[in-house]
Order: sequence, then C-alpha cells, then structure tokens
Amino acid sequence: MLPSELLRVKIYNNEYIKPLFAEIKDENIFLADSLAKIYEESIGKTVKNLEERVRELELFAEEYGYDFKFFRGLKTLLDRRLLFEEDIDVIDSIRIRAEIFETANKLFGGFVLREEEKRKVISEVSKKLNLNQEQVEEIFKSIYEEEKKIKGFEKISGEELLKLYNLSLLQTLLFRCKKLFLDVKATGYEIRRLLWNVKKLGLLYIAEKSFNGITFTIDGPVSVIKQIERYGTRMAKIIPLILPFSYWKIFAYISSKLRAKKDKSKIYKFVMSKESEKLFPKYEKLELEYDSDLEESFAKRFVTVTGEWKLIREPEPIISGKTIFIPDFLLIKDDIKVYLEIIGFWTEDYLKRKIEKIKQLKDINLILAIDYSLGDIKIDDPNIVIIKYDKKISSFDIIKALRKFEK
Amino acid sequence: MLELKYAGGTIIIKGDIKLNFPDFVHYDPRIDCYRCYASKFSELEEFLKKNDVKYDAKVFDLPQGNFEVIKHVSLRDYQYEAIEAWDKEKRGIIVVPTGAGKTYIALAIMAYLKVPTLIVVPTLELMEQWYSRIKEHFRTNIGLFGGGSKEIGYVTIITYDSAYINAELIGNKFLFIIFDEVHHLPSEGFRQIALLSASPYRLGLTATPEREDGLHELYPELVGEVVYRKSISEMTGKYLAPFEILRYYVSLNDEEKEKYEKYRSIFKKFFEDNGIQIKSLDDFYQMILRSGKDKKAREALLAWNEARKIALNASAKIEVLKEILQEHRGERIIIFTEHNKLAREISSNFFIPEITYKTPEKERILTMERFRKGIYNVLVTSKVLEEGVDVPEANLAIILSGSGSRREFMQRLGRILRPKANKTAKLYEIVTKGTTEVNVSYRRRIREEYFD
Repeated sequence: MLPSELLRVKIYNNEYIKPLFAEIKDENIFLADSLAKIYEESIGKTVKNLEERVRELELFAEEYGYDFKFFRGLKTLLDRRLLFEEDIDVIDSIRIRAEIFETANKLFGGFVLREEEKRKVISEVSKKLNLNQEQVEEIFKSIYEEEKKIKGFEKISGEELLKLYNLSLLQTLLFRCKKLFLDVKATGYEIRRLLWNVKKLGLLYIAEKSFNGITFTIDGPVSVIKQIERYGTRMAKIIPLILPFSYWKIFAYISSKLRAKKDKSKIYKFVMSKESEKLFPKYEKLELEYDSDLEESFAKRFVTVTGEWKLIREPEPIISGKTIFIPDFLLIKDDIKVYLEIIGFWTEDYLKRKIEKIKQLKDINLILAIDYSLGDIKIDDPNIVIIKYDKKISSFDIIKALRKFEK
Repeated sequence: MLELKYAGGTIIIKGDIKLNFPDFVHYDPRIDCYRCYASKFSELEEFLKKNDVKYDAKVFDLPQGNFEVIKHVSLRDYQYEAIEAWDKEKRGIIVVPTGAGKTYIALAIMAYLKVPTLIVVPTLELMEQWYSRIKEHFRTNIGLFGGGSKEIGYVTIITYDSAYINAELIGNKFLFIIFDEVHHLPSEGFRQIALLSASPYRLGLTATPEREDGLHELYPELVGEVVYRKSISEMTGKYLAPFEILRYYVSLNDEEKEKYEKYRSIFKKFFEDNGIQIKSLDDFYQMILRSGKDKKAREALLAWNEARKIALNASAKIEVLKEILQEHRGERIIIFTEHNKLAREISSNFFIPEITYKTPEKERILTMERFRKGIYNVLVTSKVLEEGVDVPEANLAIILSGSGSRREFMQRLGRILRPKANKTAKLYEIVTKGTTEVNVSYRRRIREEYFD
C-alpha cells in the first residue's frame, strides 16, 4: 500500500478507473533493479547518503520520461525494507542531547551564540559523561533522520519490486472503494480464511452462487446507512488473499475526485481478473491445516479403513440461499456426494447458529458428527444423518451412516 | 422485546416487533435486522420509550475504574456561564479564545459527571498536555491512544487520527466525549468518530468554529450546537494579557538574491506562458493537480518551492535572530520557523532543543516536560505548537517567516504568551524583504503533502 498521493490512475470512457500498473518489461526492470541496488549498497552508510543517490537516479528517470510518482512509489516500498540501528542507541542520544541542552541553559541562559560558548558546553558534557568531544558532537547529530545509519536491507529483485508495486498500487486504489465484489473459485480452506479475515477486519459480506463459483459482496456495517470510504483500506488488505485462488475477479466502485466537479467525488468502476495475475507477486497456495486433532486423527484412520469412499478435506463451499457453508469433509463414491461436518465443544451461540445454517441447506447429503456432551440435537431432514461421538470419531459409525446414502 | 446491540459503530435492532421506525433507522438485508448510527442511540431510546416498546440494550462496554477529584478547578465567571449553557442538553460547543482556559471548563464538567470519558485531540502535544492536567486534578486510570500507545482507561486521550482508525473499538466505551479543537471534526473522515460513537454526552471546544468549506453546519448532528460563545474583545484586559509585536525586515544576500531570481524567472515564465495567476488556494490546487501530469508545471512548482525556501531561510535572519537572542538571554523564548530544516539549523548551531514532526516521540515528550519545568528556557519549533498547546511561561516568541504571517496566527500566538511581571509579552517577526510573490497563503495541509 502506498500513500494516496502516489496513486496513478487513468479514466476510461468516463466510467472506468484503472491504476497505471508497471509493465514487467526490460527497461522497467532495469530501473527497479538500479534503485534496489542503491539500497543494497547503502548498508552501513547514512540515510543522507542514500537519499542523495536516489535523487540522482530520480533525475535520470525523469529525463527518460518516467513519472515521478512511479519512482517515488518504488522508493516508498524500498524504504520499508530498510533496517536501522536499535532504539537503544536513540535513547542514549536523547539522554546526551538533553545533557547538552541543559548545560547550554545553565551556563549561557538557553543558547550558545559564540563558538567559545559552544566549545565550553561540549567540553563540560564530555567530561561529565566520560566521552570525547567528537563523540559528543556526533551523537548530537545522530538523532536526525538523515544521519541515521542503515543496518540492513531486505533484498528484492527489480522484477519482484515492480510486481510488489503493482499490488500496492491496486491496494491504494481500493482505499477509496465503497463496495467490493469478489467472484472467486477456491477451496473451502481458502474461503474460510478469506471470510475469517473479512470478519476480523470488521467488514460484512453477502455470498451468492455465481457462474464461476461464489460472488462475495463486501462492505461494512455503516454501508447500509451511508456508502462511505471508511472500509477501503481494509478491503485492500484482503486482496493478497485472493491472488492464489484458482479463479478470481474483482469488481469495485471507487470514488475519485478526478474529472469530478470541484470538491465533489465521482464513482468509477474498476474490474480486474486472474488473467492479469502476472502483474502481481506470486503467492503460494495455502498448506491445509487441520482445525483440530480430532479431525486430523479421523482423516488418517478413515483413509486406511475404506477404499471405496474417497475423502476430500475442506471441499468447495456450499451456498444455499443467503448462507455459505464450508463443511469439513466431502465423501465421494461414484456419483454419490456426502458431506461430513464435525461439531465439537463450542459455545451455545455458535452451536445455535450452526444448526440454523444446516437447517437451511437443501438437497445436500450430510453427516453431522456431534460430541456426546452437546446433548440431543434433532434436525428434521431425511438427507441429514446425525451420529454421536465420544472423544474420537469412529470410522465404523461413518461407514454405517454412509450406507444409508448408498441405497 | 427488542434487543439493541452495538456492532461496528452502529446499533443493531433485533426482534419481531413491527414498528414504523424513524428515518435514521435502516433495514439491513445482510443480517435481516434494523440498524442505525451509534450516535443515534439516545434518539432511538427516546423513540422506543415514546412508543412503549420494551427493549434490552447491550450497547455500552464501559472501562472499569474509579474516578476521584483530588484538586478542584477554580473557575472564572465566564467559565461558569459556559458550563451552565452546556449542561442544559449535555451536548454542544463552547467557543472561547485561546488562552481563556477551555481545558478547565472541560475538567470542571468531568469532575461532576464522573463518567468514563474520551478526549479527542489533534496533536500528540495536546495529548500530553491533557494528560498532565488530568493527572493533576483526578485520581483515575488514564489511557493514551495514539503515537504508539494503545490503551483504554477510565479517561482516555486519543488523537483524531487514531480515533478515526479505531472508531468501532472506542464507540461504546465512554459516556462522555470531548472534542478538543472541534473544528477538525466535520471533515469527511473525522466526522465518523462522532457518528460511530454512542456517547450521549458530547462537548466541543474551539476558538474558531467556522470552517471555510461550510462544514460547520454538521455540528448539531455531531456534537450539538454552539451553546456558548465569548469573543476576544469581550475578554482582553480583564482575562487576557496584552502583548507587543515587533517586526524586523532583512534582505537576501547577493548569492541568495541570484538564486532567488533564477527560480523566480522559471515560475514567472511558466505562469505568463500559460496565463496563470496564482491568487487563491484554488489556483494553487489546480497547479498541483496539473504538475502530476505536466513536466513543465512540475518544474515551475519546484522552482516556486525553491524560491520560497530561499525567502524563508535567508541567512540574514539568523543574524537578526542572534541579536534578538543576545538581548534576551535567560528569558523564556519560543522560536517558530516555517521549515524543519531551519529549525534544525537553529537547534544545532545554538544548542536549542527543537520540536518538529520529525523529532522522535521520546525526545519531544522529554523536551516539553523539561521546558515546562524550566530546565530549558528556549525552544525552536517548525510550527507544530501552533494549535491549542499551552506554552507555559514563555514571554517571548520569535517568528522567522516569509513576508509576514497571517494576522490571525500572530494574534493567537500573542495570547498564549505569559508576560513577566511589569513587562508586556513580546512577539518578534523576522521577514524577508522583496519576496512577496512566493508567499501567497495556501493551506498548511497542501504544503505538507507536496513540499515537505
């Protein structure tokens, strides 16, 4: 994500808005590489030195017609990869500077106006703190941002930098997003994580079946009262999560002051799909993790018990009406599909909501494995079989339940 | 029975009762419930009571803690009047000039309400100032929110920026909310702090409620109407100390003059070629928009900025500054500069502690504390102290500016000075001669975004 003033966009047909992404081509890679190189070479030197060298390259880039906002964007991303000396040094310098100011105040009433006054202050402080005079002078300046020494830099290739820039640019565009639509196809696990993040960010969604998979309409609590820009930065944060999905398409309403009446904003549309993924960094597919030991031990045992039924973990979510349901497992034999959901120890509220959700599912074969301690749960649906378990789920019970669906 | 719940800065209304809700309540198809801004909570309660609807409200989640007054605030007559006016509705804005003790008005209200309170302030300096005042008057747990810290206390002080970002989190934790320098509140983002908050008691404080963009008309919805107003002229003499302004003019040296002329001719030519006249903020804004695309415009803008810098930082000013300082050794002085660079130069040349937005937080806090205690007598700052901050016991201010500061700023600054016995406070301004073209006034925000 970049500061808003570094956003670069173009308006099409007075209706669409699109960021000016950096093409992944040789001359751009060359520029990005050269800039990253300057950062690498600055380890052990001061920020001032780095800034000067970056400025030289910026002038060169501008000569070649590069937009300064593009260059500053790359610079912003690289600045974030810098490491500086520990804070402890800063605290020391603050203490020593305080000593200098205090001494100047005591000896000369607030300030030194002549060179000999200055020398006197430095010598007093150096005596008191047992440092030599050069050290005192150096530490006095060390607090300034530009005198800071660079300790390290997290390396990045020019190509990766351009891709990171593109992603950041896309996220920056979304800062002013009022409503976000994501059309995706992904595993249950990926969707679960997406929705967990949406919720954690304080956003709300509606899930609907779509031609390609699921469409999520995302905005925030207040959006139903008034469409505001409040949720844009949060929407931007979920973009990296969808990039590894097997299919994704973003559709967004963006508010912008461009080509709008003075002090007013206009709403533009933004569209982008997985076809453009080469512009962005590659994110690895998520490793599946089990929610609980219970599920893990069941999955391992079950696979060894039966060859006929195939067990799939975290299958694609099921949409039914307004409800999205992500079952733990899918069991397949020929053309029979049976979902398995395991309910363990949860709060009463969670359980109530879960059962409500399950009741809404239609035409789906489902085995519900419920912990004994949760008591009796009745669901009046011929396609739902409830089994109970104590501590571990018996594969035998599951096979018995599956027989019902085989008929 | 309806159930009212706080969720993400809104109130969710659950239950089966069919009601003709007022306009501010909206149906939310996503959750099949009704919803309104948290700020409408009191109005919603009133509506439900009037219609004899039973409801269970789980809205507030107040911080635990005690609140004890350890030092009472002694109030002046007009401060009493202000509190009485506010107390009728327990909502509204009090307008008094800077230096008229608006913090004490707020403290006095806190002392009798004794409820969990949120104080929203524009800067970290103000946050620190409120902190020490509250510590002085009350025994309670104080939370600081902003500039790195993130704690909620029975009394919490938060910056507008943090309050905007965390509006959902803080919206149901306080019964009383104070907006210091409330003229910031109506802006597009900040107003959400008020809208997403359920606090019934609201107080706004400012010396300058009116906004250029007219957004002050939102006050009634956000905090309440202006309930009390006292102007400077009604107070000078009796409550506010008079002060004296002294202006020095300096010239650019030959080298600076040459450079200045060089840059001046660049932007002059651009303006003439394009028929541009920079007369207002709007012209300037157009110019900046244009510079994003047009290389020539950008060059002109950079040249302007360079010329401006020369005018502001003329070396002769340092000489004049030295003379003034020499004359006032040992006095309490604050030096204001336009740019960080000049503040830094003064700090490292004269060993005067500096406060700019680049100063590390720890040093800034230490410096303010030591200045207050008198361990330091002098301070140089790039105008971050401009707003609202008490400058304790300074009797002299020196402003190094372009070709004259805004009158309003000078007035405000003059009033925060505290004269020494039998002397009037003095305000020096050091101005560069013959550089007026680069000193069209434009908003600070724009300057910071594009030039600093």
